[in-house]
Amino acid sequence: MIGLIVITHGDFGRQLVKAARVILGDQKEVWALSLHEKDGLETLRERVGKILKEGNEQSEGKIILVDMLGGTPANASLKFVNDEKVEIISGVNLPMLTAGMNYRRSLPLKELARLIRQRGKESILDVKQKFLDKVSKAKNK
Amino acid sequence: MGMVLVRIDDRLIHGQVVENWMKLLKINHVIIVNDIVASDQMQKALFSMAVPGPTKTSILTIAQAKEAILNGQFEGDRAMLLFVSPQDVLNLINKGVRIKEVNVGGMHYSPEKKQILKAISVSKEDIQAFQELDRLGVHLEARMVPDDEKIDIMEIINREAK
Repeated sequence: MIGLIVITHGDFGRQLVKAARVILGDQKEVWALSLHEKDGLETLRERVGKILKEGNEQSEGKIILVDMLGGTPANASLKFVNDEKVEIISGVNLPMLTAGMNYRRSLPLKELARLIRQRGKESILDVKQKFLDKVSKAKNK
Repeated sequence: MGMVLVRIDDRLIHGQVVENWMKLLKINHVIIVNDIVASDQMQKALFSMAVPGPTKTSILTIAQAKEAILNGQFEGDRAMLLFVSPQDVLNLINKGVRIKEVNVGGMHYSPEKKQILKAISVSKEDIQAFQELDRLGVHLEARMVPDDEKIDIMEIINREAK
């Protein structure tokens, strides 16, 4: 199973994992790291490094999900850019995390990372317009 | 315009800088001044990637920064200078660069340091460097993001140093 690490400013990631658990139930091999004011880049790097070493021998890799490119969570993760068993994705949201949780037993690392990115992009929509389109379609039938 | 903001922040380019300071001050050139980062290709790539869109990024050693500033290379820019420590700022000033004002945004905690503000922890060496900057007439304010209250960091440091 592929591990998921959510790293964000403040407790956003911790709460995001909680929210995903509400939807999918308890999940193993999921970590959330919060960056707080007094934390440094190096401290966060160390915490990420520690988690990357966790998990069992047959670990199929881990995906790091960060909130935004340019932030310290992303900067800290980039230390592991040369690790073949690590993927790093920015812009984490709930659909991305639940997709990761749902498919991490069935897809290999790179495929799962691609799916998560795709889900993220697909999840941002003009909900009002989408609804109105459906309504007008239904009327025209 | 030249140097719009000089900031000490050991996370260098990150969320508060990119999403807040840079936007508010319309910064178009971010300059990291640090000998270690400037000689590390990985870190250079990382921080250039962290700067959004068309903003220019330079990552310079203290010696290179001195040359660039004294040659007026940033004169036409709205530049932000980022340092990891007060020692580096002091070094640059001692090389002949004039800096009037420094914003202290973040110095992370570690066990041998003392936390004096939410985002600022200082070592003995940091305290000495701040005191020297103060003695040289550099105005020092502690402020993480623009909307925070400006705090007189020297008042706190002098209290701590007693």
